[in-house]
Amino acid sequence: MLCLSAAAVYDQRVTSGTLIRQARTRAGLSQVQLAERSRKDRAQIARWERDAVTPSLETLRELLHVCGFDLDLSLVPYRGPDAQLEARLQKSLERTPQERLQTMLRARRR
Amino acid sequence: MAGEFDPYALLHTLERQRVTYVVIGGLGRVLHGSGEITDGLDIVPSTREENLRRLGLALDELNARRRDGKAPVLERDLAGSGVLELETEAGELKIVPQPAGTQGYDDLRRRAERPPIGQGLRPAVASVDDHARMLAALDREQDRQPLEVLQRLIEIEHEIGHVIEL
Repeated sequence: MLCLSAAAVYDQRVTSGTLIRQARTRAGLSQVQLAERSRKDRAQIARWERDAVTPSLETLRELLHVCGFDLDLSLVPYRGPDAQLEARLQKSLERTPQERLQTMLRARRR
Repeated sequence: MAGEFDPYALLHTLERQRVTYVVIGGLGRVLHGSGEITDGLDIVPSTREENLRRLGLALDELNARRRDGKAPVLERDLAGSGVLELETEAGELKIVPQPAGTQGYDDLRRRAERPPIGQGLRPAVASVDDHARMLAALDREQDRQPLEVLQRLIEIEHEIGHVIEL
C-alpha cells in the first residue's frame, strides 16, 4: 500500500479534501466509484473534497485505503515561522551570490 | 511596457557605458541571500556630470521610457521626483540618486561589495547593513518582512563571525 507522508502534508498545507481528491484521481476513480466502493454518499465525498466539511481521521483513512493509499502520520517538532525563516536563510547562504541570483530568476519563471 | 526582467542585460549595458553605480533594493538583497523574488533593478548612480551622461547613453541603449512613455531627461527627472522609475527592454530600472537614510552614491560605495554574479559581471552592491538602513528609513509596512530578513542576515553574520560570502 502506498503512503501519503504526513510531513509532506503539513509542509504543503494540504487539506483532507486535497488528500482525498489526490488519492481518488491517482487511483483513477470517479467520485461515484469512490462512493460505491467506500459505501459513502457521493455528495458527501464532494463536500469532503471541497473542504466544505472535514471527515474524521478514521473516515479519511478509510477513503484513502479504498484508493490504495494510507496516511503516514507521526509527531514531529513544530517548526514555527522563525525556524522556517532560519532554514530558508541557511539554505540561501550556502549558495554563492551568482547561485542566489539564478535561483531567483528560475523562481520568477515558474 | 517593460521587457522580461534580465538583470544581466541591464548590468552589461551599464558596464559597457562605464556607468558608476551601486545596486540596492530587491536585487541587492537577493545577492545578500534574502531569498526573495524581485522584478527590477534599483541603482544609485554617481551624480557627477560625466557619469550622468554615460547613464543617459545606457538608458538610450536600453530604450528606457518613463511611466508616461516619454524618454527620460536625467538631470531634470532626477531633480524633480528623486526617484526615476523606468521601463526598459530588459525590465524595470529604478534610479535612486539618494535613497532614504543615505547620502547617495559616495555614502554607499564605501561599504559596497563586488560579488561575482556570472557572465563576467561584478557589480557594486550596497552592504547588507546599508540595505537595512535604507529599509528602516523608509519605514513602510511593506518593507517590514524584508527588513526582518536583513536584520537576521546581519545577526547570522555576527554569530558566525565572518562576512557572508559576496
